[in-house]
Amino acid sequence: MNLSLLQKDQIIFKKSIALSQDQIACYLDAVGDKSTLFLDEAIVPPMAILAQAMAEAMAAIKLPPGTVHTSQDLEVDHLASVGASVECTCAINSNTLRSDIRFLVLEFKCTSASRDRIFVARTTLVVTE
Amino acid sequence: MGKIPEKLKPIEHVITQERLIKYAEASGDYNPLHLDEEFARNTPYGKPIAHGMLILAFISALMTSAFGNTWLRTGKLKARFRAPVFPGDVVKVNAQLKSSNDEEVVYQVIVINQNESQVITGDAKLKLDSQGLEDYV
Repeated sequence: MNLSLLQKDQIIFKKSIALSQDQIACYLDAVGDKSTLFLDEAIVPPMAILAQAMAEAMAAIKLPPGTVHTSQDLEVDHLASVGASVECTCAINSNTLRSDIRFLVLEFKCTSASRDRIFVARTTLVVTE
Repeated sequence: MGKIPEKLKPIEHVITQERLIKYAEASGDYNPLHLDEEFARNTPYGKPIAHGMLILAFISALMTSAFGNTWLRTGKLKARFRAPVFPGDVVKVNAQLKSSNDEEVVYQVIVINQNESQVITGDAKLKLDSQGLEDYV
């Protein structure tokens, strides 16, 4: 994909994401999170959803493999339940080129089936062209 | 309401290539910058680097261990990735109280590596509800 064509507010993907108990256990193991809250209360770590959404975004716009993540904001409002589908949307917040370095800011919004906002997140990526 | 701690007990993590593979499998992020030594050799880093989201998750885990559901339900994290983390590095996550009032608490969070270099800096903010930090443990 020609990254220079990505426009502000352009939606990169909109997709339902549901994480199973096994996927959450796998995520918690990978990040070394020893909290039992998630599995005891059957809630999904918001960052596990964001991680999945970011992987989807990178694939959707075919970001080059050397792309580097430089900043991350995340605001959580509600928690998602294990196995529940949440609707994730990723849009371009800004897309600028400076000295052959592209700065892409992606905005993620994730909502529950009942339209409660799970989180919003903003990701800054640097792509060398 | 629990007393708001000035400093949270730091946590340390050892970064290994196996851990990066495990994180890739858990997140779906198979960027070869993190996983492929041959590819990474030809980047400015010269070797694989850890996923930024993996290191960021350590901050969230620290906040969860301290504040439980209050962090999970109301947390806001604002972070900058300042330096790459490589397999073999040992990172330490620190959180120091920055400000607090009746409505919210803000911690300055800093992740450093074994050379004391900052790899992530940022703020972690959580809201207090009418019960205060009921989940503080």
